[in-house]
Amino acid sequence: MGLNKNKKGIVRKKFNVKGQVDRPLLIALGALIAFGLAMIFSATMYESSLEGSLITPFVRQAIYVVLGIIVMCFLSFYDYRRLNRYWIAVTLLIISAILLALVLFTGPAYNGARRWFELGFITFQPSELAKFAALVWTGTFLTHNPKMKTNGIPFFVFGILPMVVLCVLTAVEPSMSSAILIAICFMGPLIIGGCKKSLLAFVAAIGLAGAIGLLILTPWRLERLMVFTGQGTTTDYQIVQSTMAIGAGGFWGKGLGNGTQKLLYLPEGHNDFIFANIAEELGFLGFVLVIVLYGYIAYRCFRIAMGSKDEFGFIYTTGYVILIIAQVLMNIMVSCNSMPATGVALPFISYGGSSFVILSVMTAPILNLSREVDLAPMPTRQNAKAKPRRIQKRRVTS
Amino acid sequence: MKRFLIMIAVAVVVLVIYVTPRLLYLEVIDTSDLYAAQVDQAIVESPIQAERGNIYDRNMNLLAQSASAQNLKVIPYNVKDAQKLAKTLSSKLSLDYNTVYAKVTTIEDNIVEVVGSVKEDDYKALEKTVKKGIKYDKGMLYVIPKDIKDPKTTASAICAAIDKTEYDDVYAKCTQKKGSPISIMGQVDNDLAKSILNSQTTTDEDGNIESTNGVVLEESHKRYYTNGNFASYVLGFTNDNNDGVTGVESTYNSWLGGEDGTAYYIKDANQKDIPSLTRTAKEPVKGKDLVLTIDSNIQMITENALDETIKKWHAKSGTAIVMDAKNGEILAMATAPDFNLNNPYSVPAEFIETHKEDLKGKNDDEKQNEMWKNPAVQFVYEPGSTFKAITSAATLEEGVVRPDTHVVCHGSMVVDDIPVACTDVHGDTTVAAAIEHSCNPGLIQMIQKLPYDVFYRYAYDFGFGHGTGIELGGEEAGLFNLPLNADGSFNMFDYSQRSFGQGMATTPIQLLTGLNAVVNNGNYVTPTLISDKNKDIESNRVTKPAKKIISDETSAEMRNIMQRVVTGNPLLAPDAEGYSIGGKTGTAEKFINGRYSATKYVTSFFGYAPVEDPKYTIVVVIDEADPSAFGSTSAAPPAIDILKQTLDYKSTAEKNATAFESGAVTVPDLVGQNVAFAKQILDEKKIPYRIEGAQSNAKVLSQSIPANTVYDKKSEMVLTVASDDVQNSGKVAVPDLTGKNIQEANELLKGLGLNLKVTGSGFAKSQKPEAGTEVEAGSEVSVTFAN
Repeated sequence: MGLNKNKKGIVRKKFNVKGQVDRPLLIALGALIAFGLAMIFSATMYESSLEGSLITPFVRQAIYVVLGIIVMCFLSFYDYRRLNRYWIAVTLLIISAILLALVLFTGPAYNGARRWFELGFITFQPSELAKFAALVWTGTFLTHNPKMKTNGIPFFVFGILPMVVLCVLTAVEPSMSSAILIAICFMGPLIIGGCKKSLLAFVAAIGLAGAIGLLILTPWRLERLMVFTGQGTTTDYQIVQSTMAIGAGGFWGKGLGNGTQKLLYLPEGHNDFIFANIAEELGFLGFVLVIVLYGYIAYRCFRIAMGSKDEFGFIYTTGYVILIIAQVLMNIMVSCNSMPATGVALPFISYGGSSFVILSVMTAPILNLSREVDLAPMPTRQNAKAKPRRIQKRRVTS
Repeated sequence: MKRFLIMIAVAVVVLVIYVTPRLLYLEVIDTSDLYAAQVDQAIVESPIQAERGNIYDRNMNLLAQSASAQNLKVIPYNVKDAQKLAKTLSSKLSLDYNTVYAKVTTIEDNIVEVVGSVKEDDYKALEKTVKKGIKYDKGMLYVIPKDIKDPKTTASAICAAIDKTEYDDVYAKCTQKKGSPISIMGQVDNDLAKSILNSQTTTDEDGNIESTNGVVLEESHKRYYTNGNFASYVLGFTNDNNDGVTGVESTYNSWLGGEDGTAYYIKDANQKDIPSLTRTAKEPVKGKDLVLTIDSNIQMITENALDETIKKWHAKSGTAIVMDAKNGEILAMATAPDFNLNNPYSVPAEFIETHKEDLKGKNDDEKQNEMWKNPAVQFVYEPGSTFKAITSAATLEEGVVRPDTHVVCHGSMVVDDIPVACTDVHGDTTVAAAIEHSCNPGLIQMIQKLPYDVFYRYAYDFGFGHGTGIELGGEEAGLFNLPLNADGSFNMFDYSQRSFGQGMATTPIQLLTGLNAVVNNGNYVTPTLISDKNKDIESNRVTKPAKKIISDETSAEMRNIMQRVVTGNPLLAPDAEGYSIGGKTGTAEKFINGRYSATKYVTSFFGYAPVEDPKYTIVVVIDEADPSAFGSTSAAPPAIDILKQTLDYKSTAEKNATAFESGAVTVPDLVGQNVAFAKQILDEKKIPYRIEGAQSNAKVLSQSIPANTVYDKKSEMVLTVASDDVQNSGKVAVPDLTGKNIQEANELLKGLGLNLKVTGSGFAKSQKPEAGTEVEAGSEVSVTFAN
């Protein structure tokens, strides 16, 4: 904490430029981002041609992607360990909570929900920031206050209470999906960090009760669930169009750009339902491609987490992986009507400037961590020979 | 780390056992329903009309062909400037502005989606305030703009009752215009249609089409009948869909029609077509050409003779069929009055006049249907004496009588206490004479010698009581009931009157086919209109071989007896002089409302030539001629005339086959046609032509060689043309008719769109108005003829 007083000293320690970021991860991310841009272009090209404006959704997204990548590159030099400080965690959590509260009153109503701020050129969704805050918060408190893993009082005060605050604020927007993802950002690290099973089980029970209560309090949620289970009276237009897109794609897909659902049939086809567009144009193979890319990113992140020398790095990175995986699965499941309709973005692919930038910010600490992790291939017999060479190479470049 | 891996494992399990199978199911196993649903909502299948095949006569003269044209439609939803559009359409297509305006601003009568996820209770509440024009289905609220009387109130009621709705949006949907095309006019000339489209098209600065103001053109074809009023009942015509309605156009619709192609138009969720995504899935296949057995020259001879006859006898209608006796090929099938195939929906004044009793109280559709009926196959009548040939053939063949067998006629005969009258008292006479003089008692005595079941087998074999199967729609079967009482006992009177063709009914084609067998050495041939030049076509020619009914000897006997009907008749004998023609007359009272009419007759004549070995047979049936007419006076003369001309034409043709055939071009009816099209037709027929008058956007006003005449190679066709506007005022110069006979004068005037009023007979001596006078098209020129 005292480090930031001595400016000269900080400069050296703030930035960690020793190693190189993990290239395979970077390439996989780049591929995913490029793929996402291509899909956004495809999904919006018809609507853009109707509107005729030069600032098409694709151009907007491209600008944010560039911005996000610059921020990510810059922050990848910032020592991830410096995130592991109480004041940062507290500040992030408080800002998130304030913004989440604020958006309930000032945000524009869209389909009856207030989920984001409209700041002229950009929109900003505070629930995205809350996910980042949650990961940083849990990582920080678990490493600084290991008692909370076993002791009920700190566990609930530092682990569960902030989660409940953020989740409730999000849930009343209403945005059930964001609330669930924020809960995952809290619970993931708490589980991975080694909290006692009895404590976790208790939380699970409370959560289940809360979910049931919410279903009863907000009947339209129950209705959506009923629709999903085939007993409801309404058919969700988006879901109908989305499954239609997926089904029409077939195994091979119709070819990039050849989808018809984007002809204004599929709402949010570039956003929460971009997977439907991918499935229509690239078919089942598109699904496989998406899963392979995310899976590889998750695998690289896992390797980086394993190489982390401190607990914060491990918890943050694995929490991040859990979040990404949860988001991808939820998005795909909603698109193909395998779970009740709820709006989840496909990370790095879905349209959304602020969420892309925040995602980039969230990724940066992992890239930074990868600089000091030796990511030689797993020490299996075949790869054993490769190990020294990799090290050597890194020495040369650094 | 263990916990992390457990969580990852959970995710992988979800992925593998839940998400992946679900996607495999949706994308690979059960895609058809979803794909179909998507096709339903986004893809509009639209046929590309195939070009119809041509119709030719047996000498390969063109009778019907297709020309490319456009169906002009408007999608009201896409109309940006309705007034401009209506103004252009009404002026260029000569339509009423208000009607067009109403069409291009038609309100949607289908459902329009307003908003989804609507709760049923909310809808029920809304239903209480808004009664009409809203619909609810599975959570989706729809409006039906056409049913909404007051869109403002409706829109605000919807916004008040349902969340997530905005007034402007709902109001727009409540007043939405129709999204599917409305036909403005079918078969519009290409140039005109394109110029209308261009006048409505707006482009952006890059030259991309922004809007066509709702105008949509659909490739179609216009059917053009070379000679208009020619073989109207045989050819038939097509509707706006390019489907045959009557005649061979209808029976050979699929042969001529080809296969329509398919285009797919993709539309977005706002029902807007996306031209760049239109795909032609299947190219249309042009229909096959159809060659008929009709000989244009004989058809023309027949039509002219009939026209004259029905005018002369003030008949309601006249029908004549000429058949090749050997193989059943129909060489001509004509009915007068007829109608113009190029304008088949207008009922000519002549037809309205002659058929006014039939048309009484009928609307336009019913009148058209009445006119389109082909009497040759649909006119059911009692044949009367012509049927005696069948009775005679049967009794002679069975040997119950011989030509010299005696029969007695006292001027009438009583059968079962009912007297049957004869035209004369023939006294003690022979079978041959009885047939020749059409003696009813004689025929009764003949038929009574034959058991009725034997006679009925003959009648059936000769084709009575069932259709001939000629390739025309709506053929009637006629009536040929057994001569039995209600209790099943034999009725001698009924049986006896069959002998002279009463108590039964037939059609002209049925009678001709039956009597043709009598003179054709007993060989029954099925009539056909389809030439053997058509490959792989389904027609009577292939499926029904000749059937032998009576022996060659009996047939020869019959031919000799019936020759005397002509040669022994002082009226007909001079007509037929120099030709070997035989026949049988018939005059029958029409059976109307259960009783025989004293004033309405059907007169008819069956003829054949040459007697020794008949090549041609003919039937002429005149319906409701002047009451003074008999078969021998009204029907026989034109029949003999047609046979004579046919024999002449055929012998010339045989002598100089090639020369005649190339000269045997019938002149097309070009009046009222586009100049460009007229040129094309004349080029095809290799008729030299010259055009007089302004040519731009012009139509043919008159033609120097009248339509339907046989063109001789020497003369040049002069087309007088004028632009549309001039034609509307329709001034025509009256030609000089001096020295022309009635037929020539009529043809000349018809070609100019004028009508002839005949006084006297012989050659034209004077006319009114004078030659050179300008008169309105369609007016009458009265001409006095004298010898």
